[in-house]
Amino acid sequence: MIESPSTFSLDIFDSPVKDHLYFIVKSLGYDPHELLPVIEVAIKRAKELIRKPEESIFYPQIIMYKIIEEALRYILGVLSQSEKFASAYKRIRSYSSIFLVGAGLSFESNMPLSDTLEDLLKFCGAKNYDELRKNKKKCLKFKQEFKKICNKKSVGTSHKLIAHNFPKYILEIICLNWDNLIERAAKELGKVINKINEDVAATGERYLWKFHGDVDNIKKDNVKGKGGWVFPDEEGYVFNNFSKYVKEKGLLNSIFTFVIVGYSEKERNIYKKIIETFEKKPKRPTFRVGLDLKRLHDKNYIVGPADFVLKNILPLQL
Amino acid sequence: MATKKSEHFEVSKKVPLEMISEKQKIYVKGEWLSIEEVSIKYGKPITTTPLGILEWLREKEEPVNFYGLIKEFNLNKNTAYSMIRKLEAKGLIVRIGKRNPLIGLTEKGYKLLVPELIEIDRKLTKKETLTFKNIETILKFIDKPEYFDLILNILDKDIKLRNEKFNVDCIKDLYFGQELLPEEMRVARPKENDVKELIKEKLRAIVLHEYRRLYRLTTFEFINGKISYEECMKKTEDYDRIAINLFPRYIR
Repeated sequence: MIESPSTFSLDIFDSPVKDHLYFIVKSLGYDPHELLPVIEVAIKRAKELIRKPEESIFYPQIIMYKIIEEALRYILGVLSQSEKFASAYKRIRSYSSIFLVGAGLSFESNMPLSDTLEDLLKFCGAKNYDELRKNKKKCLKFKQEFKKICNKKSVGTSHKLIAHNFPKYILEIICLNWDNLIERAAKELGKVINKINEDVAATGERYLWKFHGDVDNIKKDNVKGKGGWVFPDEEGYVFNNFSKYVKEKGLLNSIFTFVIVGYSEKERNIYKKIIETFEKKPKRPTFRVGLDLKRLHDKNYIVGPADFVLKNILPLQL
Repeated sequence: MATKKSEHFEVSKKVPLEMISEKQKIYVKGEWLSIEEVSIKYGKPITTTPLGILEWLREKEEPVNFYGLIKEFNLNKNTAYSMIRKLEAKGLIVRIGKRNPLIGLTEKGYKLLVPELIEIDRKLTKKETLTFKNIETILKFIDKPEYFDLILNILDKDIKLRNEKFNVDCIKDLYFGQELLPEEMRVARPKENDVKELIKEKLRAIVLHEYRRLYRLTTFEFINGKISYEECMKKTEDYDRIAINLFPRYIR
């Protein structure tokens, strides 16, 4: 009798799949340990493409090799971008850069992404974000719980690389995440990064901007620009003082490389006020770093996990 | 466990015509002829396999004598005798008489000569590995014991060819990572005397390798920008479906 297929998870293939991919990567002349972040992301994404995991009981080999081949497709795709890496590297070195980072940056540190935040919402007694906006108590609890989660997470290589390249090659960092992993990375590197997490006038220059909230700035009232958090169902928010800052410092008329890391670009305000302005008005070299293999042949889209890609495109290495 | 080798259709040890470069020409009275042309002109046909003998007997439509067979296939006496004995033991031919006996094709031998399988066997001789379509054809015969030897021979040849061309051990790959899977998902290798299960094992190994080969080719097409991501996914999904349909299920 065949056991119920529903009792199996695709995770059971992780170990043989990883072994096999290590072997292939090594036979291609790469160091599997260096490619570990790519391999892990590749396996995760490959498993997402298996539409009928229950078939693994009947055809374990086919399902396992599908994961292997799909993951290998991803790995080979990432490795095929050496020209893009070189192009981004040269431009960041020549013109410096402004980084806009989203949730994808903290992926390697296992910070919860918007889909898993639903659990935290429920844990805080809220059905949706609207309830958080209306109920101060629940909203505060949500922020405090998120901070607790954040405190348990380790800083990733990509956070360290960004902190390390700031401000020499990264002039400004716009971080749309609530976590403080870049700040902690800077601290670990013995650096101080000036942070602006409320809509106030900037007196100096070279900042880490946090328009959407910050675990280091939790207040009872959730008012945008005054420490309030912007939730995933909103259109995004940009400080008025940031727009002023950009004009005053002459950034609008300067050439720099614009790099967007791990951000879906779905928030209208962020797209209109920052992305469109920096990328197109006037036209600047722009690179997007994300996990979407579909965009492998887009000239300015670099596929791969942030830590691996940033290692290849940032001039200062750890 | 060693894989069971087909007893009655072993690949000839002599170099088959197909392995000699077609470009090689031989000088004959002011002309350059191909090896095949020379072999026909001088009555020195390239050697055959036992299956070739059966085919020839069918074409003749009547029994032939032993020396006629030797001459036709340019075999030495001992090799020819050994092949004849093997075919006879399987009941595919009969010998009539003692000295220079007549060799006749039996009903069983005649039925074995299914054009589809013969065509597949010829493909392998030309160093072409089995396609999914060929495997689909073979699957039509895997419940008929009279074809087991022929099928085993075809599958053995294909596995050997894949090993030569792609440097893979298909059977080993089939069981890769088994020890890391939960016990209920592990599959035991078939017993040496269970021919049907041996056939299924080889088929699984071949389907799996062909699946991976096509998958990898599609990956390179995508990475090299020859096909879009959507086309790549569509092709891969087709391979998934075909491989799952052709893959003989495990019976636990």
